Amino acid sequence: MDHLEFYKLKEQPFSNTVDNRYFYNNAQHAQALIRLKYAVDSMKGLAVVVGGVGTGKTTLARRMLNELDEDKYEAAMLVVIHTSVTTDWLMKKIAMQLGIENIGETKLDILGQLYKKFIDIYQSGRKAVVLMDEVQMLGSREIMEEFRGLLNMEGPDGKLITLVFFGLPELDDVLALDEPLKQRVAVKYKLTGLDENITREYVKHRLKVAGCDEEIFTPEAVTAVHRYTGGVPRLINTVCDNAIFEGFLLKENPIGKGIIDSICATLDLKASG
Amino acid sequence: MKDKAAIIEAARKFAAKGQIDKAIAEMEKLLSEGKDGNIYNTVGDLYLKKGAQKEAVEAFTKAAEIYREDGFSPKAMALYKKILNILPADADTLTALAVLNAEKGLTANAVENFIRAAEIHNRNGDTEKALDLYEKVLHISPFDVNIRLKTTELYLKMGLKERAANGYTSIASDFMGKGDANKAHEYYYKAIEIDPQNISTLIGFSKLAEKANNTDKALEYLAQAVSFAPDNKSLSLSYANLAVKAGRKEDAKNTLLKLIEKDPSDTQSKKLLGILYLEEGGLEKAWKELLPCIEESVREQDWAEAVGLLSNFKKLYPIPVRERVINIFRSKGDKQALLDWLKELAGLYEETGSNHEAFQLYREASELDPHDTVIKNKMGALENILSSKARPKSEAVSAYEADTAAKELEALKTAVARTGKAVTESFSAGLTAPAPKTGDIFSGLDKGSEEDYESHYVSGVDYRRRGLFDDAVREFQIAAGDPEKTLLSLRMIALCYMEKKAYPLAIAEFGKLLEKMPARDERYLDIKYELADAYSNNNDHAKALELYSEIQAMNPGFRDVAQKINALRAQTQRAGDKPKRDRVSYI
Repeated sequence: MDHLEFYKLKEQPFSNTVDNRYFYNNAQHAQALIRLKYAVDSMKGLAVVVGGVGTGKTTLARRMLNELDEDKYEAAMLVVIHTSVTTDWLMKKIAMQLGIENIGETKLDILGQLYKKFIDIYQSGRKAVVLMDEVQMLGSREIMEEFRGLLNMEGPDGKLITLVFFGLPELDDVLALDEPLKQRVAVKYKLTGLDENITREYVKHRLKVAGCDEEIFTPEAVTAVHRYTGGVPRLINTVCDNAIFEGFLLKENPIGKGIIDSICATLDLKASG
Repeated sequence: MKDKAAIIEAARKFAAKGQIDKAIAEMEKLLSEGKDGNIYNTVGDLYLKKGAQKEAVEAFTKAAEIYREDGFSPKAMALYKKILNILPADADTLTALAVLNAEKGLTANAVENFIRAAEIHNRNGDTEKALDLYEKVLHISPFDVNIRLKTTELYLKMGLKERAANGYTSIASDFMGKGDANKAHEYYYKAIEIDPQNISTLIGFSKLAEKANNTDKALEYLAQAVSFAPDNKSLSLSYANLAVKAGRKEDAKNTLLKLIEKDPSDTQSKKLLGILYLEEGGLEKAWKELLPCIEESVREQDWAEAVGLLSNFKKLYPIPVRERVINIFRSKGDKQALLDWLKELAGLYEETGSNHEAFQLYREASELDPHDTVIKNKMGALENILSSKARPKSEAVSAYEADTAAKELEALKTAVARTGKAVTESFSAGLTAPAPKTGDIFSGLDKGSEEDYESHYVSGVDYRRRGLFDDAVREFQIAAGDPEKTLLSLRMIALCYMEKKAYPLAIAEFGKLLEKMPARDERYLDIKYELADAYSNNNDHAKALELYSEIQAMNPGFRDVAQKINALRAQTQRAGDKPKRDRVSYI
């Protein structure tokens, strides 16, 4: 018997890999999604979501991408994994993701192709959206100017493309590299940690999706999880994932506060409050 | 492939001749073949024979691990014991054996092994490992005071003050549970010395004082705890409760008011405050606080609680309270209680001249007890009163027709008394006269009497309650003619369609209602929620999800909207979302 069987789970409930089945629609995400969709539907141009590490930005981005129906939106998502992205490479990637073939060599060619593509999308009755994750890594004024250039492309109803940036709080500093771009932020949302009640519901939700309807954590254990993690979903996942394994080793069901304390000490997490 | 049997035989021969090293060398040839606990065990024995303790223990340990991995726990345990015979103070072996004992449910053995190992680590100055093992013991044997003390002392040694304080507090709490107040005090004192702001300790002191009937002192400790943790709601509520016990009601009220200010939906605090107001005779203030508690009790189907609270306000709000109680007993299905309350409220309505309402209630009561003659008499009397006033249109139409027919008959009789053509002419004239227009028929009745709309509304409620939805809809459609009743009536129509499972019609009605209603109207979200339910029932999950999400964005804690959203998402995913082409790229 392994730890999943012990707790009557069908799969790992607290993996940090983004999986839309585990998306927990808390109020914060719901509000963020509504605002971002508003920005997209009214072709506002630039929307920004900032949040600390593990607060669910990437999950939200994936969720939003999933909800942008292909019939109504031409949407793509770019995840920045390198700080040395050049403007040419960025434009090419955007062009590629939006389905442009035979991408030009020069930036001017690419911009021309992008403009034409945006017009085609607009005339087909759809909206072009590009979601970008980890934008704080693009700490270059040149790149910010390129984004501003894209946002200058307008149609009768508004911007021809909506950019939605997701990033750590440093993203504000990155946007400030190009003040006119910063002023074009039409919608901004800040993600914070979940409160204790929502943390409780979040844990319950993930266990349920993984096939377990029982409370495998005591109420005190969940309170402790919240105190140590500050409601940051990624940390909650890490702590709970470890707790399930430790609990299995000690044959503890439900998992109590002691195990949480022990794990968090190992993970060097400090309780707040 | 080596010949295992041959190698073992060769090793045995070497060992018999005392050539241990050669025997070991032979056996070690087999170690590369794979993990075999028996081989390692034999190698260990050979090393032991040679006097090489360290190598023997290594081999035995390896063997034990293999046996454990393969599920042969007893063999593994036996090997660990063998190792301990050689090295009694081997903490790692003791720990491994303890774990196995714990897995097999041999708690006492496990505890003994863990403690021995912990003590060895402690002696060696490895406090962290010792603590880890004591904590393992606590998992197995949480009530062992000695272990808890040892663990607490180690926490203190390691500078983990909060944990140490919590440890002492926990021990103190156990002693208090056993009635040993002195010991409890001793350990609470130790805890507070380490961590003067430890909330659990202060609560413990408070409980001790309360047990000693020193409520003021108990309150003092709790006040201190609250000052260190002002956001701890349950602590503040405990303080308020204790303040009430100590007769310090103003203190209690101030605390409760602060709690409610922070969280207006806090029904626990509202309930206590409401009860305080009741005790003081502040009925209206009490009603304001207790109404949400009553509604919560109804939602949770805690009928006794709801009725108990409502009963306090019978005199202040005689009709609303009785209406609520009646609804409760309807939901509960308590026919006898329902009957009693129906009669009581009907009597009240009679006193206030609301005869139609009284009649409806007596009618419901008569369905519960058809043999009650008092009810029948009451109904008869009220029917007479009501029939002399404006009647519901369906009855009015019949009455009009009956009147017309009677008049015609009278005319005919009179005419018969005369003779001739005049009779035929007047009768024919009556027959060939154009039929009165529907509007004309109703115009006399539809003269803007408020009671008409009210009657239709009440009739609609009654029809709906009895499951006669089409009749109910008709009544509500008429009642909607009153501007003051329009929204209410439209909602009732929509709800009738919901109950009839005519979801498209319900959707249309809710939609109309939302158009007429400003978003700031306190019922707006309720209507939107009901519209979302209608879409969901009509299998338009996408639209339902959209509406629930809008509601959640406006009021995250509204009813169970979060759960509905999660359920719908899971449903749409199970139904198979159209898989999107991969539109994610990395740069």
